[in-house]
Amino acid sequence: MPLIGDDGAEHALRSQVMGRLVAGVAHDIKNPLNAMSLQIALLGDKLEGTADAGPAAGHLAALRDQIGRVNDVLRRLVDVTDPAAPLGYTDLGALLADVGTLFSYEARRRRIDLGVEAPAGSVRTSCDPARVGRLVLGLYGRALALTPDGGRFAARAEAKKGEATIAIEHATGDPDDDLGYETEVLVAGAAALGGSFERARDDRQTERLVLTLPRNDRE
Amino acid sequence: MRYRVLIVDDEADSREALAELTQRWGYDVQTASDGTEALRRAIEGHPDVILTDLVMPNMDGLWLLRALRAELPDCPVVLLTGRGTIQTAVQAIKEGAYDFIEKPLEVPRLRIVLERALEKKETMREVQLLRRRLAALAPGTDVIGSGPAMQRVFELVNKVAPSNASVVITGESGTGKEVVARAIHNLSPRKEKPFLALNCSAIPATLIESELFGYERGAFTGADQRRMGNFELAHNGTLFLDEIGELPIELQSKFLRVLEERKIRRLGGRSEVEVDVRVICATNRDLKEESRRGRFREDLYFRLHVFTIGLPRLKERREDIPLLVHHFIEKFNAETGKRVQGVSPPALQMLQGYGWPGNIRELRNTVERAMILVDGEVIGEEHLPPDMQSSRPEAATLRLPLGIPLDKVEKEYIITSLQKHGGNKARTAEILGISEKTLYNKLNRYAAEARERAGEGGGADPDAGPPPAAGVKA
Repeated sequence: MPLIGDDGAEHALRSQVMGRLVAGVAHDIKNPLNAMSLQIALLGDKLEGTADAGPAAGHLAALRDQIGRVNDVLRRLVDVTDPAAPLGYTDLGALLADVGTLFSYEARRRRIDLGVEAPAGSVRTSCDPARVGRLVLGLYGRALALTPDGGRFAARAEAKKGEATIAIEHATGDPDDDLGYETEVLVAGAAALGGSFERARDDRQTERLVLTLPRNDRE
Repeated sequence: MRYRVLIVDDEADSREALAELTQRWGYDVQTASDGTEALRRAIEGHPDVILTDLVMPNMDGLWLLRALRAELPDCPVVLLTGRGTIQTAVQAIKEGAYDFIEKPLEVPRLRIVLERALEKKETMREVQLLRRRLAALAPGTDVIGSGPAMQRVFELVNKVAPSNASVVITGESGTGKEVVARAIHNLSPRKEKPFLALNCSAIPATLIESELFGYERGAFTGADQRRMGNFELAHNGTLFLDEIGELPIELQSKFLRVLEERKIRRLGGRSEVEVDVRVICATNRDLKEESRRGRFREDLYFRLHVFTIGLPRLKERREDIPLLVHHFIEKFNAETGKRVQGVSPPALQMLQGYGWPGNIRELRNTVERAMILVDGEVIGEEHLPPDMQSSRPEAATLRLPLGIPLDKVEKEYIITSLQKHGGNKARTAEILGISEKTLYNKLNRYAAEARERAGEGGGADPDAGPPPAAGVKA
């Protein structure tokens, strides 16, 4: 019996194409950002020594900051949707932090009490970075979708002996049948990478999801 | 001189803004909207550095980079990328890019990268020039120097090499006496025969005789077999005796006899062995003075001094420092597999400003140390010994108003330098590159001028003393 049905396969296809689209869109946005950044530098240069230099400096700095913000969002989006981490490891902490930031708008909109504990650099896995990126994105998205508005959501990356884990604990609302295949995908995906995926419900109100992957403790 | 920058980007807004910005920084700028146009402009205009977008229609940045490696291998290329991953960087550097910068460009970083790329280009150009000069200098020898002092040495070496005459090479420790001795040997008809070097100060006096003349079996306790000495080993070749002034006086007569009769007798031996050896000696002592004091035989002194070559101290031939540094870099590159290309202009300035009490040997060690420390291709100030950095003459700055006569500028500079070195005239003269005598003459003249003005009733003379401390920025 296939792991996922036709519907799931369509989702997978769409997800893959979306990843490529994101990379293209990011490039298309970065070029205007670059032009803006250069124009601001040029403007600052031209104003230097004039009476307007002082008052304009604050505005120019604010514009530079905004360009930096847009660039940061893009960077996270591309890193998460099209991961290509170097040297054969994936920094689960950095990945979880980026995913958390990208989903933060949805969390704010739905008043979800969000907590992400993701120390960068200390939790690394030796698994294929692209597959790990997809699994973490799917895990986080699934858990957030199941969290009811105003509910609690806590995610944490942690290193334990030979394992690197991402644990998510979240309040549960009504079960969504459409998300059932995602659990199967996570279980199969983690196993294929030499790890595991476990799901536990304590009191019918809290769900605990743990993705465990082989750890890379190379410095 | 305005450096030429070629900017390549298919985005007109970015391209034009970048062009205007770099123009404002003082560069001569050309632009191109794709790789093909860029390659044509690069071949025609020979830019000093190229800034190119990575992703472009038709011919992209990597294609351009590869094409440029063939056409303009010395031109640094900086890639502008939309997504700065380590893979992109590694790929770009593998393909020969100087660096890569992620968009949107951080303008201060761009400026620094441009300056560094140009600095590298300048260093490469210097290296090419030095290579050519090195190749042209004294072929067949390792003697390096293009200044007048070393040109004189080359002349003497070339003249004496073909003969059999004994040569005395004088010079401070580390000035390259053995290198010159080898050059004489290599340019002589004996070049295919042995060249042996023996440092008389490094061997205990009791062993020098056996080292020079060898010994027969049973000549002394422990002489369990016959051993040839350096004279025999150097037969038909050249024997270089360093620190000849250290040769024990009781051995000097025997040495003189060998030079006169061309025969040696091994220790404990009965028969004489004929030897044909050219002797080159070196010393950092004044042998004439040693002879006057009875520490060196006068007859040996005259026998050896057929031809004398005096080697200048390194600080007397500072113009040769770039050549020597390059020579050592090439040498250590070959030994260690590193790919150091040269020295940054500020580091070279520091090397040329230093006093070099240990002469070329100290310079060699300094370059070797720097090459251990350097990770990139260019040795910088930070790779030089800290004491050299603190003693750099440019560490202090003299500020003077424009429009004052040149002789006053010189006076201010000399007096400030003297102050900077705590009144030490020898050190000041060395730093200024003039003789101590010249410095004294100038200082005496300043004092006389001051006295003269005071005598005229001018009162306190602002020129008489050192300049006000506020004018000196340490």
